[in-house]
Amino acid sequence: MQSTSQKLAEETEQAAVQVSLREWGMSGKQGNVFSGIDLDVPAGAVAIIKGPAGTGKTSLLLSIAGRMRVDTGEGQVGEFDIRKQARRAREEVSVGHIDGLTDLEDDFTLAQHIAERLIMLQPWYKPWVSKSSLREVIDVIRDTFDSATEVIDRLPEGQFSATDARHADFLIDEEGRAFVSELSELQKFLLELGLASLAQAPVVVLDNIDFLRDRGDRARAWAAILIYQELRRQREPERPLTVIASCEDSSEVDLVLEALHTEVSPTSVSELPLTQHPRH
Amino acid sequence: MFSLPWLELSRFKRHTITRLAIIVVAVIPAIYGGLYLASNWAPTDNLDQLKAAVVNTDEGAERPKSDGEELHAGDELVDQITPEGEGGFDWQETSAKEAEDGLAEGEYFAVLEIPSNFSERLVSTGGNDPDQAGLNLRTDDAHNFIVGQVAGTILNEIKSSLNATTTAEYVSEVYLGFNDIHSSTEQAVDGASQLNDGAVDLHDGTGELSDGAHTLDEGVGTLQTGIGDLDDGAGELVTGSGDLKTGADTLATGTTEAKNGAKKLSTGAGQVADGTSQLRDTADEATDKAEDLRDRADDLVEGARPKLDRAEEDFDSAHETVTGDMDERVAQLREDYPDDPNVAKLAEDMDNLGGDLDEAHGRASNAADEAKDLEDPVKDAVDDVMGKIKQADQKIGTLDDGAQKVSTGADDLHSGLIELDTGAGDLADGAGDLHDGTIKLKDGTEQAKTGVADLKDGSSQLADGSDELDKGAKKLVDGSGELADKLAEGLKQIPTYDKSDRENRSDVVAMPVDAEKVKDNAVDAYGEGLAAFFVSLALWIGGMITYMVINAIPYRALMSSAKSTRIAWAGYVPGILFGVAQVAVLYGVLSFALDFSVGSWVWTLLFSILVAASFHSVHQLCVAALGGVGRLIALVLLMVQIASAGGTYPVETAPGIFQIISPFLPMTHAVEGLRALIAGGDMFIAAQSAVVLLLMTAICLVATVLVCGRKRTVTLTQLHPSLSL
Repeated sequence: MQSTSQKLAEETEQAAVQVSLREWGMSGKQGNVFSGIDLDVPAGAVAIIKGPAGTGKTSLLLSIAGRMRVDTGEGQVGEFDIRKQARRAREEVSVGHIDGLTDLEDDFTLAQHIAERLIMLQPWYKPWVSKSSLREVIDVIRDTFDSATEVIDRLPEGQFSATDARHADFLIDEEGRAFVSELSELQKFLLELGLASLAQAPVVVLDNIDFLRDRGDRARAWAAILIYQELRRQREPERPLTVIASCEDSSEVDLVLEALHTEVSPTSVSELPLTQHPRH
Repeated sequence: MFSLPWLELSRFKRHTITRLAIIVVAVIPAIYGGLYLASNWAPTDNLDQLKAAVVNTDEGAERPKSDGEELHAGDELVDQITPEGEGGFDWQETSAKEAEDGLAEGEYFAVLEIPSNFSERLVSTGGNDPDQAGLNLRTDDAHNFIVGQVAGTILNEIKSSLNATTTAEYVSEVYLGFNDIHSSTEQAVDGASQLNDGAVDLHDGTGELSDGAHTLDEGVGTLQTGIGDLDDGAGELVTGSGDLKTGADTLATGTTEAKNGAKKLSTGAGQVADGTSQLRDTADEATDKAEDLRDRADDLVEGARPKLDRAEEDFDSAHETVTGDMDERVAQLREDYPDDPNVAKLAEDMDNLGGDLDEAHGRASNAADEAKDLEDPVKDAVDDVMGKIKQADQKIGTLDDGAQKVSTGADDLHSGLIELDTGAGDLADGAGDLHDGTIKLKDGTEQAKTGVADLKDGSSQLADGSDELDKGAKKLVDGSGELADKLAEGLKQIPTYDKSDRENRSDVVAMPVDAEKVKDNAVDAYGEGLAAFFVSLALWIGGMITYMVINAIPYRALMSSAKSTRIAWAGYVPGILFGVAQVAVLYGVLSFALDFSVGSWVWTLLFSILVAASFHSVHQLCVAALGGVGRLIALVLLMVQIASAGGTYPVETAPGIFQIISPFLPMTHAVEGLRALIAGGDMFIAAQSAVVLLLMTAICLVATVLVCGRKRTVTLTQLHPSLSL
């Protein structure tokens, strides 16, 4: 595997390091899951953890998110030590998609999903969310899709199209009455990303984008991630979104970056290859 | 408006099957509790559905004090119980054989046997040889155990009914005796008042006795003091007589010594007297000799004077001779022999001799002079000596007279001292005897002291005893007075009865006690009594079912930034909503399908909801913490609680282990509170149970929150399906 850092966007300023790992390692009963990971992800950057199945991508993402304990190394998310201040570190990282852990409820409507997550994020003394405030949130998401569509519209013909935006748009109806089971895989993926983004955390982790079987969907997913990151940067320049995602094959990223390079400007895009540890 | 519990429930809204699931969850406790309670609602009310046999072998008997009137109690009993709905069971009169077979086959649940001597024994109560009449009830536990217990109750009812009839007859006889008792009691009243008079006299006497005893006691006290003093005095007397004895002994010794000394003195004085007699004789001789001596001295003086004169004259002549004749011869010689040295020398010596003769002559003259001078003094001195010797002679005479007197006095003294010594010896003996006597006296006074102390104890006891006797006599007075009064009162109360009065009263006395049971907070039916237990069981099962259908916690939320408390709450509230529904349906079924009533519907429902809330929190905790294993644990808890909640029999009747764990299980408190509320009992018990349940709910919720917190981090094992290492 070739080396790590491949900068495609121009570095405008020296961005602060949002996630930093040193000698990060975890072992299980059958040996090391991963070990000796050194990683620095600047704020507003995209970090891609790449490797074949079984190389510990999910565990690494979970450990960065503070949802899984490692055995060695030091890690920081923002100003918090992941191992020593796990609870604070968890609040800094939203989990966008991890198979089996963030699975959506098929029998929920979109609105119910969003409402559930909103209530969960509210303080304890407010255990409900009114339809109007839910409506506002849905409007914000819709605006985001509209803005994304605008971004796509600005692209030259043949790159991304409004069809792609429609594929990705999980807000099938205005009220969000559609059930999750009616959504496509891509829409579910983006719904998960959308739910994760409600917490407004500075870091979001997304696992295994390859579960989207269609190559076009993967490209649309990457595009949506990058565009959302860009929109977030425009809305809150001080708190850019840092994305850490894992996949087996990153070729779609390169395609999307190439297509979108005029519209998106992540601080950096880096890849961290993981290889299978020998079994003990 | 969206809220978490509603969102959780809305998962079930989409499909018919899931909506049905909700209904099933809400209804299952009602089905469970309702079915069981319905089948056991009032089993004892339907005993007339059970067939029972009565076998009558009674032969009847003649009533006492009647003219051939016969009693057929067996027949009467059969007539009494066989009509439908009268005797508990459906009684049928059969032969012994039929009854035996029927019981064995299970056709009859009980067989009542009336023995042949039943009536005979019943009438015997009024006779001289009363005997209890017996009935015999048989059941067969091989067919039904409970019926055996119930049959016992029925038999009891029959028995008391028979007792009432029989006793009435007997008691009627008893009333006849009251008149006799009345007159006898009158006599007793008289006797009691006489007894009272006697007791008053006795009391006076004991009062005096008590005073006397106290005076005696005081006197003995004084005597005790006196004896003490006497003993002290005797002690001092012993000491004094001891001293006296010692002194007398010393005196005796002293007089003996004095006696011996006086003897010596007497002897000495005799010798002195003898001596002075001799001295007197000798002095007389000496005086005579002194007279001689004076005469001689006078003679000496007279004789000496002429001799001296002659010596002087001799000397003068010698001197003149020497100096005249000799000098001439010498001078001649010298002239003859001028140069001879011897002649010179003789001349010289002749000169010296002349000188010496002159000198001797001088001296002789002086001595004659001096002798003359001495003559008078010697005479005077001799006269003086003579005077003194005569004086001495006189004094010696006086001394001798005195010595003679001393000798006589010493003899007298000696004989006096002999007598004194004898007396002192007697005195010493007497003092010894006196000392021995006082020691004996001291022993005697000590014994007297002890004796008096005993006497004092005795007299004190006598005083106390006489006081108590006096008190007792007082009580006797009071008691006998009371006896007399009460007897008099009692006499007034001893009634006399005429015939009709007697019969009426006999009936009442035969059944003096209303044997009706009065139960506080009685429940209407057996099933209602069991309801507290089965409602609790139903709600526990409801909780198990609830968390089989809904998620214990929204697992998806664990990955979000939501707080653990929020997540636990989000899982709990849908459960409790199901609980409320379960409570509502359960009580709906109970109150409409069965004749179920409670003391207070509001409190019962609220408490039941609390019970459901508490049970659901346990189930949520079990499932959230352990998943499928948690459901199994909930099932085990159910079994444990059935055994230890005291739902049927009180838990105190169960083995110790159940009593120990009982207070720590929520169902115990649920049953306790529900029981009080359903029967309408003590609200305090219900409130207590409610507090415990609230506490348990809170503990479970906190534990669930902690479980949620732990589940925020994933382990490799949990992730394993997506990770093929």
